[in-house]
Amino acid sequence: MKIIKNFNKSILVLFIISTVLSCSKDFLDEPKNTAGLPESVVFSDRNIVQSFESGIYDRYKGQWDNDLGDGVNNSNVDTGGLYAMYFARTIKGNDLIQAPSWFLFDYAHENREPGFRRTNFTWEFNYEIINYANVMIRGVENSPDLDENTKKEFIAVGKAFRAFHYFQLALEFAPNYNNDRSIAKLPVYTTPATGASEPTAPSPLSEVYNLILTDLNEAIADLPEERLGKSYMRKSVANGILARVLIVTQDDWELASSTAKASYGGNAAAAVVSSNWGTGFDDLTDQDWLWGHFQNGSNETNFFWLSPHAMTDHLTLSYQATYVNTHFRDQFSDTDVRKLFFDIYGSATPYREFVTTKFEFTFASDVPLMRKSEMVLIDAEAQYQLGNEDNARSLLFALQSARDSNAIISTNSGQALLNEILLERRKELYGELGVEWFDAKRYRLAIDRDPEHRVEIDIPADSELLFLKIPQNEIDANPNMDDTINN
Amino acid sequence: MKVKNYYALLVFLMFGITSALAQGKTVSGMVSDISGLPLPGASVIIKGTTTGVSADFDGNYSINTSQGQTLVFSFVGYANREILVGTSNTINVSLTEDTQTLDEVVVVAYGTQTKQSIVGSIGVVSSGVIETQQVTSPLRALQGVVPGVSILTAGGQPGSNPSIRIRGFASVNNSADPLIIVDGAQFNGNINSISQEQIESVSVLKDASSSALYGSRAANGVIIITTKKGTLNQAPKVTIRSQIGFSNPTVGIHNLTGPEDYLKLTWGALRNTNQYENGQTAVEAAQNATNGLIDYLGYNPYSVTAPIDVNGNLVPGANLLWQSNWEDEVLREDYLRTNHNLSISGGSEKSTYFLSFDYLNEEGPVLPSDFERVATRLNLTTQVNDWFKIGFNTSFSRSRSNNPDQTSGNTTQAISWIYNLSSIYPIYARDANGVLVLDDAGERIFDLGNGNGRLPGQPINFTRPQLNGEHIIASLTLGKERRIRTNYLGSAFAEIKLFEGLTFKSSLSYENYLFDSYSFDDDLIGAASNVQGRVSQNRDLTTTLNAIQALNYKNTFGKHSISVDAITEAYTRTDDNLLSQGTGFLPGVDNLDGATNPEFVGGNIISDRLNSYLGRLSYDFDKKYYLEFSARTDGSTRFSEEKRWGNFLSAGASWVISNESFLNSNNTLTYLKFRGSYGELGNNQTPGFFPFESLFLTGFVNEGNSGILLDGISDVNLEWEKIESLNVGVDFELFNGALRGTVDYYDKESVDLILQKPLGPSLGVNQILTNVGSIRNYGWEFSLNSTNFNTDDFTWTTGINFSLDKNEWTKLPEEETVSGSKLWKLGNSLFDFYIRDWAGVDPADGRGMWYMDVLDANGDVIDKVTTKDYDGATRYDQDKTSIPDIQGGLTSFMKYKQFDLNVLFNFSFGAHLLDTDYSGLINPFETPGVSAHPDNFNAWQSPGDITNVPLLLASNNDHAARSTRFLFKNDYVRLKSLTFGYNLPQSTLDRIGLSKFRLFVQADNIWTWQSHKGIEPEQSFNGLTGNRSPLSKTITSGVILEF
Repeated sequence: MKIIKNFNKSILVLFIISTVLSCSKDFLDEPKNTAGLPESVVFSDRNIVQSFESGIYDRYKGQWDNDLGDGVNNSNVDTGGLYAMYFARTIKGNDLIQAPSWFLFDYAHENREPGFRRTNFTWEFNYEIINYANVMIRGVENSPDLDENTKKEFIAVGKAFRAFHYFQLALEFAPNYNNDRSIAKLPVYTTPATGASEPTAPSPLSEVYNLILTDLNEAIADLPEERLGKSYMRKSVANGILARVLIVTQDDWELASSTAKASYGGNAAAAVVSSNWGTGFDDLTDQDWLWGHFQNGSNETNFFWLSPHAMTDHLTLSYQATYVNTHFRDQFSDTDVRKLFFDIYGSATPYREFVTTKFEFTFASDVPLMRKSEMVLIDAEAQYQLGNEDNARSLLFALQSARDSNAIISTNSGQALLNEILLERRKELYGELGVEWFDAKRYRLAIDRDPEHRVEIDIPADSELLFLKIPQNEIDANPNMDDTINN
Repeated sequence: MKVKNYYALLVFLMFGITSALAQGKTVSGMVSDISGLPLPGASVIIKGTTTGVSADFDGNYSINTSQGQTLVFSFVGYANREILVGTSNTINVSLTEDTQTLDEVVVVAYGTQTKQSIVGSIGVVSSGVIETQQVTSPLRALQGVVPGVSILTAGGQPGSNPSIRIRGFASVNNSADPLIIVDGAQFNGNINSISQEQIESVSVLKDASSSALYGSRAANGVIIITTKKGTLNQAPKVTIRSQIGFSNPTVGIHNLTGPEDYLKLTWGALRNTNQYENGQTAVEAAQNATNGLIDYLGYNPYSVTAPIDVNGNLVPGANLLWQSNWEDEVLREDYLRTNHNLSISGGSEKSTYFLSFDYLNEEGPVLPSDFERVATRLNLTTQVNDWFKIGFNTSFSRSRSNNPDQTSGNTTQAISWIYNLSSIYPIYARDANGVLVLDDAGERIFDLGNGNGRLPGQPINFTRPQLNGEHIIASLTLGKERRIRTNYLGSAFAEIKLFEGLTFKSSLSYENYLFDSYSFDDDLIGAASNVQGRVSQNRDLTTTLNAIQALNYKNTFGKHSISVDAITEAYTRTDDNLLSQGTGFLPGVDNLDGATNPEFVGGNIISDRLNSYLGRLSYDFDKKYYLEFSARTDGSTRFSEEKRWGNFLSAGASWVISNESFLNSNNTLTYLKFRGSYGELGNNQTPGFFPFESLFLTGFVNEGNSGILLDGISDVNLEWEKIESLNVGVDFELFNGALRGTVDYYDKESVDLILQKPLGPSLGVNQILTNVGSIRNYGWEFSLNSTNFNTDDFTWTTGINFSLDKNEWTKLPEEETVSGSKLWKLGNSLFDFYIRDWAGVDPADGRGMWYMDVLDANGDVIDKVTTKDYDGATRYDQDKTSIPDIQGGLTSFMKYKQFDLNVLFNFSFGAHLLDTDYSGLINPFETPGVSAHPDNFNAWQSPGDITNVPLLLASNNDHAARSTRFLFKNDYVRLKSLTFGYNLPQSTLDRIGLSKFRLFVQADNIWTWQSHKGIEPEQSFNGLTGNRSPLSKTITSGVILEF
């Protein structure tokens, strides 16, 4: 009896214990994090890596909040994305005038202090994408699942992003590259941030630009032309970025010209054809546009935030904040399709005399980020710098004749030709990329504001007003930096 | 030689024979209480052995023993009696009730222990204490009863659960809630699904040694809830308890001005702005204020065009056409609470059962809040044979409540509405003359403040300056906020006695908690009217499975007793959440089928698991010296594989000095015990189930392609937050238990605290969640209970308990961090206020002043001056916190013959409150239409006035901005519960055939004394108010029947 009793007992106990212990190994490994996708999943399939790239473009054109997950919305119209960064540059020049609305401090050149939102946004936005690029490059490199072609393509995409954003940082936070290539303002990272990462010491501009050029060259070699859509960065866009970099570094105009040609396709007359002038400058499908932000007005829109459209379009409910300098308007011939300036208010206030209808604001407006016409002008400038003034003039004329039926080919030469090219850049690209600011920095020009301006401030050549101070948050958190960096 | 041996042998033989003859004696008798009633199931044990029997239904017992042995008679709630077995074979014993030994057996981690052998710090609350209060969320009954436990209920929604902190605040980003165990298994449902009537006892494990067995989840303390079970050999006992009564808000909300006073104050503000900001003369300013008052506010509740004259008085002959007392409309008075409970418990020789049904229906202060719940429970155990025992506990609870928004930051929630909209705005739409405007059906229409139902162009009573398009009564009555909670909890155990002293227990517990939240925003009125209504419905299912296998060996060798536990546990919790939301509803349609536009869909299934191995060794010598060690190792899925496992150890010891020979016979100091423990616990309640994993968030889109983005970076090396905890304590009893008390000192430090560490933004990420700080909580806990009188007719016991708690940072990622209104720095607590210092009002111009530091060239402070510039004023570390210096409770129980009276007070002194509810009502006139407090009448009027209220202004000013002017001492004493009862005497009961009949009146929260009046003192741990609804005071009468 007792033996059977003990036997029963032990069987029962063993049975219970064995069922419990048998599952312990996998027990803790099984649960997976379903709140999102972990890295291992993201870099296992080409489509998911592609969606990471798509996510970055959504971040460019959205309503930028510096912390996606904290439940607090810190976004603002003038720091909403890539388009906002460009418009802050646009409004620093002489050709456009800003009313006291969004961007008023950028307009008045009093928005560069280390604690300001503009400074913080520009720094954090660009560095965030750089980290994304590093994550993409490392994730793709280390992936055991992706094929070689996918790897090459997306490493190239990552490098293109990284170069593009280091270029933006170098323009925004440092004086002109060629003034002093040894100035150190920017920490450089080529690996993703981890929990153990510490911010690094700033690198001299020469190193930054070396990285930019290396990245772009490697990217261009591996990037295909095909892409999911024109908001995606592929070979032609990468070439365009390189062309822009080269006209800042100004030490290889030959390469600048060939790169610009590779970007716009080589046939200038065909490249400059644009259907957007006079129709609202809001259509990404225009053959002239190489790259832009895409909106569809329903689930892909940032509503009222979109610069330049929401700032410049006075004919629709928008911020209606940007006006045009009458002297700039006078530069256009009356048959120029780009002369889209009207006096709709009849206002006595000098700065409010003209508005532009170049941009039509709707929730579905697309934003131009890079156009073939700009590349043609870069080619013209490079040809001029190489001494090939005839090539320069004919390239210039290719654009001018496409915009103005009464245009005649330029007879200028020397500095006058360069000035004409720079003026053409302003006439073609007004409101788009901050062309006055960009050219003033690289050619060490002054920006003299006409008296019609609401804030008449003159920017001397090489002024520190043309670049932002390093943010206080960075100085405080970076052991390799102190307040002297902003001296 | 041989002769001596032979005699020795004979002596031994004789003893042997005598003892042999003396064995085999059967002693029997009856065990009863002092009135002669049998005590069924009383235990009779031969002292010094483990041999014993239980008395049967009639109290009769029969035991094999021998002369010279001592029999120990015991029964729960009664004092033991020891009787020496003499020559007689019949021993009848009567036992007397002993209130002191009621808590002799205490439920501890994974088992029970006698109170004497506990080496740690455990607070016990019995059902007797819980039933003196009316608590829908049962843990509220712990307030003022267990020292060291802070309980705070935010807002008066019935069914809302309090926040509980045991011994301070040990975590910042991780959850600081204690672990809740119900009948041995972790509870993840909603506490308000457990009825207070079903709870037998609650043990609060406060220190390391008591909670070490819960290791990784025990850092914030453990609350063990044990539900009622039946007893062996007990006839079925039926208990019916029924209570019904009504409630009112305790302290209510701040005072608000009526229309006349409000217009006068607004007029004064306009006049002041005209005169002192816009430079008008006094006469002009007054005239313009009179003319512009109604324009400013938009509505005129009086019959004359300009109701306030140039002296600030009501124009004679002005009739009040309407006034809206929003508080009366939104907050109820005399709302109902009913609670009915039926329990049946009993047991045979081998089995026990407990069955309970509970129905509760409680309304809340805000229209139409309520909480209706049905909770059932069935607990069964049965002894299958002498080595095999099984048990099954199951409970099902379903509650349905209306939860109108009354505590959130929304500007249109119930309480915010009352504060944000003054009484001059009518409830129903009116025309320019104040006449009610009716709709086509002749009914009144709610005034939405945007001219609804009327033609455009109405000059006044048309557009409200605030809260347009909304109406609180419409959203409370037309909208719906319904919450349904279903909680099923089932656990089964099997206990196998392998051999004497060695038991194996296997238990499995399953919990299924479904939270269904349905929210409907009306299609015509309110925030969703531009999308024709919105329905949002959440269904969140939380399932928990907990399996525990435990081996326990207990034995006594002479004076040594040991008990060894070896336990393994597996725990898994799965959250299955579903959300859907749609808009576009026809009038009268409010279910998702009727949505014309599906707005949002979401869902996620995610799990959390824990695997543990633990052991405990207890040893005691002669019931005088106790030692206890425990060790636990846990693996949690919340950390990466390398960091998953944590080891937690603890040790404790106690010395019952009163059992020593030098104190044994002392009649004053009858019980004295020292105890101490030290141990390490862990906290794995991280924000999120996988905080160590960097994740890509989905939901982005570009050109129609779906996009993902990396959401920050996570620390893959994130590990357990650990708490190192020390506890020393003394338990004592004087005069044989007439005076009983405990004193505890605790010191615990949370290390590897999980905090957000700021990162350099050039890294691309702003902050990272990592182990980077330390916080220390330390303090004293006292409790003293006395039995003042204990005679047959009159009993009076009193008790007091309180704790002194301190909290301070010992390590931070940055030297100083400003966190809202608090300053975190080494030596400061989590809740030290860091705000501007109010410097009073300048009698010359009535402006408010604050203090400002004057710095020299090196940045050192050389002077402190006053300034009228709020932005320039300096913030100072106030050395005031929202943590009380002392908090606790007072109890008193009196019984005279058949009547009894029980009171419980709870108190808190030393905490501070930053009352932004109040500051929002002071000088609000820059925003037309916001309600104002009558204290505004104390404002500065003309040069030379000495007052603390600066001049009223209708223009931008900082007069009511955050400063020490609104930092109040928040001391309070509350009469938490008062019960007055009458029990029918035994003789009458016998005649009727009942075993208990009790009538009682119970009042909860009926009286409050507070240092800062006007608002409920229980707001939040961080000392900030937030437009929360008030708690309720409830008076009910009830009856308890037992048979």
